[in-house]
Amino acid sequence: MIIIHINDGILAPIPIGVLWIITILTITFGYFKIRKLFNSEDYEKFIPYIGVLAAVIFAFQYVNYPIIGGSSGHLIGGTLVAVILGPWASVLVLFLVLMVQSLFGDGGLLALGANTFNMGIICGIIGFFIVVGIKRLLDRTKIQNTYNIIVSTAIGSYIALLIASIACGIQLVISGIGTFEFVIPAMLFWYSLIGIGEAVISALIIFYILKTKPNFIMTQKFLRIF
Amino acid sequence: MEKLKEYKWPIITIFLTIIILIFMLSIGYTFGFLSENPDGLEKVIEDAGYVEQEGLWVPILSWVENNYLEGIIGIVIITLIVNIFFYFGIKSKKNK
Repeated sequence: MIIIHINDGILAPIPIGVLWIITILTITFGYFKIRKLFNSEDYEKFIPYIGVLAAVIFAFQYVNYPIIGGSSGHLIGGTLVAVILGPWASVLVLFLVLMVQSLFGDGGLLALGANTFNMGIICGIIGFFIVVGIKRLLDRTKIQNTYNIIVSTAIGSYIALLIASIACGIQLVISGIGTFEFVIPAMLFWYSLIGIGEAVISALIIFYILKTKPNFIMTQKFLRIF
Repeated sequence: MEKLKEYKWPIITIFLTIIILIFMLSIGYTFGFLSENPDGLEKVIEDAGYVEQEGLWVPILSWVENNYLEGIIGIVIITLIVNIFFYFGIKSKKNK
């Protein structure tokens, strides 16, 4: 079995509890946020594609690509989903993906709150606003608008992954696994390498959607894509 | 029938994407270019000296031991769950 997320028994009860509370509150708030969009015709038309996107994230999280130093990495996809569906929907989708993975023993059910916090909330919500910030900066340059969003997604997903790795490292240290001096630099080292794959895959998927079905990017007004 | 025509392309897309994903996983596992090495998090936990303990519960689908089969079942389950979730979410909103 490939172990790809935090499993049960790794984190201490306090971080598990706190991160579950944050995750539940965020999902509830996010659900009411995206419910406002449910009235639009577009959302109904895109339901099957949202399902496909979740399947793509699920499958890509299984594909561990080798990186130097005897480790491996896989796509997280939080920022990617946030750029396509919006930050609140991304938390929901990532939560559902992680929940199904936990049924197979990939990531614990007790640690589902922590995994959703790291991959859905940090990579999704925070990553989305990083992408928006970078996009607004690039809009001031002469780079073509389509490339702006691709570059912003790549950089945003990379930075969000690094932030998530620091957050995950802090959770490990609080739970008594390793010292701060060891865990945080180690997490940053590995995820600075893994993040390259995250950035490239996310950018390629956004590029593909922009070329084939640009309307599927539901954040286009917010991101000023067109 | 009209409704089915409207959803023709989404349905084709779902099937095509699932076939591509299954194909991608099968190639990866058959030719072995997918890495069996621990990922970043697992590597850090291992290097920090943590020894994995027995889980508190047995995951419902842990009987599926083949990674490839796990991937296929997972893809089907997640596609169904997300479609059902968003379908009923939208339906309940529209009914109100």
